[in-house]
Amino acid sequence: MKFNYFIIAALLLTGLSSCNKWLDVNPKTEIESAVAFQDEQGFKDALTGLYVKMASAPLYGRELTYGYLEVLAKQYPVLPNSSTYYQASLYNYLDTASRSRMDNIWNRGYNMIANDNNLIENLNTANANMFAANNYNVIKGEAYGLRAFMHFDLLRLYARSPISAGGTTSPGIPYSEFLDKRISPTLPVGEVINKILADLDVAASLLKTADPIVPGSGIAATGFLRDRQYKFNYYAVKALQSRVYLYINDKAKALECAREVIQSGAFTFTPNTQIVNNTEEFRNKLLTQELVFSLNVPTLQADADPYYSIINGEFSILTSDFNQIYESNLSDLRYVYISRQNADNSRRYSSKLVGPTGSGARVPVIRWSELYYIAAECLKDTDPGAAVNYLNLVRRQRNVLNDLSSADLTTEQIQNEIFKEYRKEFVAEGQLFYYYKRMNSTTIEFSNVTANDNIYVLPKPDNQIEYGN
Amino acid sequence: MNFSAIAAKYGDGYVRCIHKKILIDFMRITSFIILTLTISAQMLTASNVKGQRMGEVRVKLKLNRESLSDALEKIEKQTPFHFLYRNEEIREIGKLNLVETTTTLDKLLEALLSNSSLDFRQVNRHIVITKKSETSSTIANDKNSYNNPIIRADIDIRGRVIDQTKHGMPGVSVWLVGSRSGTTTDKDGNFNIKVPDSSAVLEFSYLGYLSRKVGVASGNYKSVTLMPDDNNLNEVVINTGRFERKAGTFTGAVAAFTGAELKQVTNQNVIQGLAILDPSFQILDNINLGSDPNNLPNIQLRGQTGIPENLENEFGNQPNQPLFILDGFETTLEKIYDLNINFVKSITLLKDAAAKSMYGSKAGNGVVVIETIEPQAGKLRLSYQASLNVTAPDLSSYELTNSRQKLQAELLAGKYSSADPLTQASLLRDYSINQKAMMDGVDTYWLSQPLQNGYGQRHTLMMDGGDQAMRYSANVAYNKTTGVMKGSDRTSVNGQFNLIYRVNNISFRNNLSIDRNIAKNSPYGSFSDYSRMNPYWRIYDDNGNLIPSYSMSSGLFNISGQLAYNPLYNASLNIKDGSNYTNVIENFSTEWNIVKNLRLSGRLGVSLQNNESELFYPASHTRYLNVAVTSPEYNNRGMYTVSNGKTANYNGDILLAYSVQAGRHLVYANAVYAMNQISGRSVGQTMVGFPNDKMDDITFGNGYAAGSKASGAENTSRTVSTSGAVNYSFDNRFLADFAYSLNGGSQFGRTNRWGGFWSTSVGWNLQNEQFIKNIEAIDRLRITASTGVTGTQGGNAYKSLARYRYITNVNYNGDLGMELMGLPNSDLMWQSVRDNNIGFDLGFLKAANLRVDYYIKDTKNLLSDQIVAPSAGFNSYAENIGEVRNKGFQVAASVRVFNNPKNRSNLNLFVNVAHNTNKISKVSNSLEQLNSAKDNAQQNGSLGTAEGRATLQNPSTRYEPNQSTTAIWVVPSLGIDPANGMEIYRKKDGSQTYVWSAADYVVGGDSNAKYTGSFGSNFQYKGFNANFAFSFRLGGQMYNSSLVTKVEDADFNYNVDIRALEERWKTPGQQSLYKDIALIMPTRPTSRFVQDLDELIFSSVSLSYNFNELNFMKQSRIKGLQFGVNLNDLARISTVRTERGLDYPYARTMSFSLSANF
Repeated sequence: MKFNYFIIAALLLTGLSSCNKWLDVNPKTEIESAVAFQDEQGFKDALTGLYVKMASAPLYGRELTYGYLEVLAKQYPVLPNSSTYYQASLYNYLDTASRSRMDNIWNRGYNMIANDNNLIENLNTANANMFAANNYNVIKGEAYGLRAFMHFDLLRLYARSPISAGGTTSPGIPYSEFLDKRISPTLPVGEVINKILADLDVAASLLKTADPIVPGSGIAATGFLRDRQYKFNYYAVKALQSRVYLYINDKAKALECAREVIQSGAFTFTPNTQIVNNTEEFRNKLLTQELVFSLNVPTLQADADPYYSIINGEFSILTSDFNQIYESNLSDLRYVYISRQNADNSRRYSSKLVGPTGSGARVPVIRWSELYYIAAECLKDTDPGAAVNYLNLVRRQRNVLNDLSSADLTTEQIQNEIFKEYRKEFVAEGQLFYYYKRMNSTTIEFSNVTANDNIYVLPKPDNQIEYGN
Repeated sequence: MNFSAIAAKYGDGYVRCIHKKILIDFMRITSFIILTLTISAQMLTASNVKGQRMGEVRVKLKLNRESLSDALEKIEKQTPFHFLYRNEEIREIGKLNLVETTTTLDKLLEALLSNSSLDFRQVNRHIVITKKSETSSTIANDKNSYNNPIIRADIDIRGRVIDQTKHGMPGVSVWLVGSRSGTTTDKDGNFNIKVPDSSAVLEFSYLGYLSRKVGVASGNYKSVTLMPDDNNLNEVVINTGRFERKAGTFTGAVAAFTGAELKQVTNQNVIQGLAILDPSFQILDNINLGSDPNNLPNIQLRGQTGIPENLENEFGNQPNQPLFILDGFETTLEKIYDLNINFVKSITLLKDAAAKSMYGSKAGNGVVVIETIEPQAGKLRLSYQASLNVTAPDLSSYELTNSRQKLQAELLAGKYSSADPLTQASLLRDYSINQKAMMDGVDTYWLSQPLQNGYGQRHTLMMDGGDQAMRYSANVAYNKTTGVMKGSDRTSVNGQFNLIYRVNNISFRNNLSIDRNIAKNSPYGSFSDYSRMNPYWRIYDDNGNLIPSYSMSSGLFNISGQLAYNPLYNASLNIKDGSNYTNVIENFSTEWNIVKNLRLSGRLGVSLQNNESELFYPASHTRYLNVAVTSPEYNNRGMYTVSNGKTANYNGDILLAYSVQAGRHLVYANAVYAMNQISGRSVGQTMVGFPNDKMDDITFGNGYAAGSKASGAENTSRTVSTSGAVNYSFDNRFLADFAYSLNGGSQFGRTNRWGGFWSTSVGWNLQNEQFIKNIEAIDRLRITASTGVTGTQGGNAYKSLARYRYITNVNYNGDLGMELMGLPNSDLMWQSVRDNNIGFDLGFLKAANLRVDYYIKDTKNLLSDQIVAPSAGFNSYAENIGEVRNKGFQVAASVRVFNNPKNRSNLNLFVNVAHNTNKISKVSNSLEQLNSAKDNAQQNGSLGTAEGRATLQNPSTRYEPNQSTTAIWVVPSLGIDPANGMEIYRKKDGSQTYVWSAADYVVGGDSNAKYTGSFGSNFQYKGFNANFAFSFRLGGQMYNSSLVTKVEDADFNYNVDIRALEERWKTPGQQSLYKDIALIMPTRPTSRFVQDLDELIFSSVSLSYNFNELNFMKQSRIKGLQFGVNLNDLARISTVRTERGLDYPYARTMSFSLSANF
């Protein structure tokens, strides 16, 4: 009898103790986070997921590059009434279509950050020995870098410019560092900047010795570490630092970072021979050698072509306006080879992102030339000669052969030359709007509005205001 | 025959269901018989010997005014001995007093019996107490003299016990009244007992049957018929799916029905029967799908525990559906719906926490426990049941216009007027065409076109037999339910094989059942397509061919040039729309009676099911009529969708049950350890391009639908539970139950993997109190109270974890990425349901029963989406927010008006009433947003499309604290202004307006009835049995949306209710219920169409005749023959006139059945 009881008790106990494991069911169509991060591949895939999200149309796949931001920067000065961007071009932020675009940028941006946060949390608890060679540092560096990058662009959209009065202490955005239902509080702009810089420091120190893009690193750029321009590489981190420092007007540090990228040896100007070609599909319209960071958007042509169609494409400019942007220098390679005209030559379109293309389905996010412009801007007061030299280096590459001379130019004029270069260089890349905002410019070319925070600060989504702290 | 063999043969059957005391007595009696035989052989030589061993056993005893029998009982407990005596003999010894004494047994007995005429002696382990004078008496010849049964039981009586179907009843106890002697019947019902003389009386008793006393002198003992005891609830056994308990000591709120009771109210399916028998078990009326045989009903037990809206989208379907347990294991609603009603042995509804707590996290919505019949021992029995079911469409709710009325209505509504003269001219031409058709006598009754009387049939063949050691049964059934829409039916073929094998104190049971089910939907499409067709449209052209479409030019809604398709045209095509499944269930269980009061049982169950469904529309279907030949879609006309699925359920449990009785204390305890895995997988695909309806295989398709790929779903969930329950009863007066269940589920969050659920309850059997016992009239009086917590599981509670999925539709530079699926919430819990129940049970005059339950059921931690600031990365996350309270009572009363066993006539009446109110105590912010989104849609929705209009016309479900989940939200209306035919609304501030605004919403009613119930009667006279049941609902409201769509907002392009013509406002000054006939703006939710809904439904009539008593049957080999007629949903009296059965009509059902036993 006692023996029987013993058997029963033993059965029950063994049953219970093995239960917890038995209850861990992993559904086939979804993977529990803890399971996904059991091996290196999971970390790689989670990181890839971040790039996929950034490359989607609501973010850099359109709105933050050639779409919404270029509309706000008046790079397509006159949109047809029928365009879904028409109200946006009037800075009508209450319009439903406009509103949903802005809300989507915020929501998708933070969604990417939430994904990033879970990756970072898991990286911080993962066993680094599980990873091959430099992969741990590369993945972690990119993850920190991307978090800073996304926050920085959201800050540039949804908060005041630090240069405006009281800008750094004005309400910024939440800096989200954890995946949690308890949301992070909205911080002042200055504090958000500090958090961004802190993340970038982590990223830079991890990537500096692990990223094969760094010349002389001796690390093979193969397999997972291939095509570093598609990833948030070491120089993307440095370039972003440069952007951030310039944004808060810390010119010394901005210059230092810009110079590191310029002098890195990792990038070269795209040879003219690759641009000058009568057959469009052989032109390197993206100037791929100069891309510090770009995103692969496989559907880019299908998405972008209708907007730049020479038959009623929305994203066009009157030829006269286009000529004005290029200062009537019709030999500028960017004018000749990276734009096209409609049938009666009344309008021009940028052909940077559209087919046929030989340079891949990608959108530029950080371009090497921007660092030359940053360097020029940082030096315009202290060393105008060097500043103008940086500008001339880029201009010559674009077949703008009339060099500028510091002797002829005031500081303001140098700044104006930089502005002109932004307009020419970054068509369809979404950088011009940030330029206006960074300068807190009261005018926006091709627009008759008086620009101020009403235009420069996009409204946050209603749900953010209602449910945010 | 030895003792253990007897125990093995009969004991187990008793351990489960009979009071332990009876078992002990029973063993004694069996021994007594052996002893009797032994002694009668030995007596000639036996002297009055005092066994030595009696002198060796020491006993400690103290008596305080106690009877001898009590004293002997105490001694039995201390010693291995059993006493045998006659009660009336030892009664001469009065109350005994004894200071605590320890002595040998023989000395003790000598002392106890010293002043009496009694003597004692030991025979083996038995001590026989008899009168001194008779121990030495000679064998008496005088049969009427008083004799000691031990030596004088010399009349050998043989007889047979049969049940009402004339089957021999095995295991019936046969007692010699006034003695402790008796026997039991063998497997054929035969018994053999010795009685002292012809004055002896035998008592026959069997669980669930009325006991009978038969005098030996009468000679009636040769064939004794026992009748089932319908009226004795105390003997009812509650089957909770895991163990059985006597109703008399069970404190939970349950309703138990036998298969026979079920069949008295319906011959259709179990679900329908339950809804008639117990009003707390509700089938939610689906006014659209009517009596579609392939539509699974939506069921709730004791009100809505969850909020459907929220849960349907995110957390699985049917959040209020109770848990179904079939033969101990969880099963699906579909399986119960298709279960052959003849296979059902019993159904138990577990309603309160005390009853259902062992099902823990799954029991929140209540539990329905169904047991199928098990084989009975005996010679091979064969029974066959056949039924013919006739379903007839019920169109009484439809009152559509005829051709003349329709044209008149169209004229008044302005269908043929236009401001544009050209259009006007063409409209007038249309009018003349339609008018000519009307004059020609075209008055098509479209409603009847897709309908039929459905003839379904069911055949059930059951065989069983065996002996106590092995019993078996094999059942096969075929059931075809035919719907009232042509071509819609549901066919099941079932096979079952059961085997029960018993060896010593271990028994095994194996059930195997195989089901094949084929469901076909009508190719005629939706019934609403017919009810809207205009009566002046012809079906066939002059050549007798179907007319595919009709011109719809009209001045209303700018739909000139549109076509109305003839739905009959589609029915002529080879359309496929149906599904089928094959289900195999294999259950194995074993039971081991370790010792007398300790039982260990284990069960294993496997259920496998394959599902298939297909939907095929060829290119000629009217849905493709407007695809132009030039269109690239032209080659893709036609569509074929198939989907295949598999589910597998594995279940196992181990149960340990222990009972102990010590004096007046009875403790019953059990522990269950159960594991369960449910997994399912489905894959589906859609092909397009089927130019010909003969190409009716998916492989003929032109290609996959553009942008489509294989769809599918996979899910696996596992649960583990450990439950324990203790039931204590003192003197069968005070009862207490406590149960605890620890549940683990793979669906719960990792941090909340285990949840505890509990219940506690008390009961007081007042009928066992002396002061009630004295009241003759009261048979039973009981009060119970229970409280406890169970849970309801969301369909997908993976929400608690951070989960990834791969982004497969796009890669990044050749790599695939993955993304988070949602914001995790590690604190996520299951929904918990707190049930409080007070029950009152009364039986009086052996004829009437009353059961009252009052309950409060609080659902807490409702799973819903909580909206979060999007900077968290997601818009919402799953959170436990929201509370709902259901409160109500249920009264069930029955009375036996008369009962005459002589001619087996009786009349019973019953009434059941349930009352339930539902109130939301708290809602989440996502529901608040949902409310305002719906209000907004109602206010600003589009008028253009049919869906848009429907949204505007129907009240939306809104969730507001302190209101019911079923509240009807409307704007208060002051009626139609006689001056202009417009509706006047009352605003929140009391002012009047013509403008409808969602801001003025009030609760206009509640679609949940205050009282629902059923009443009816059962009448039996000899072999004739009649049963009537009515259902009713009182005190609820409904929004009469068919009045809105067919009258108030009638679309005059299609057919309308006759009231649209007759009762709408037409001329200034006219008092009217409905707005201006020429006004085409949709009517938004208004209090005008909230109507009090009181209904009386004649839900069931059943008549049957049992031929068993007729003479021809006595010679026949057929042992039982019964013929019956069941009629369901005969008539409906309602305070609301509304069209019912919009997409599928309601049906009346008549069923003829014949059953025979061989």
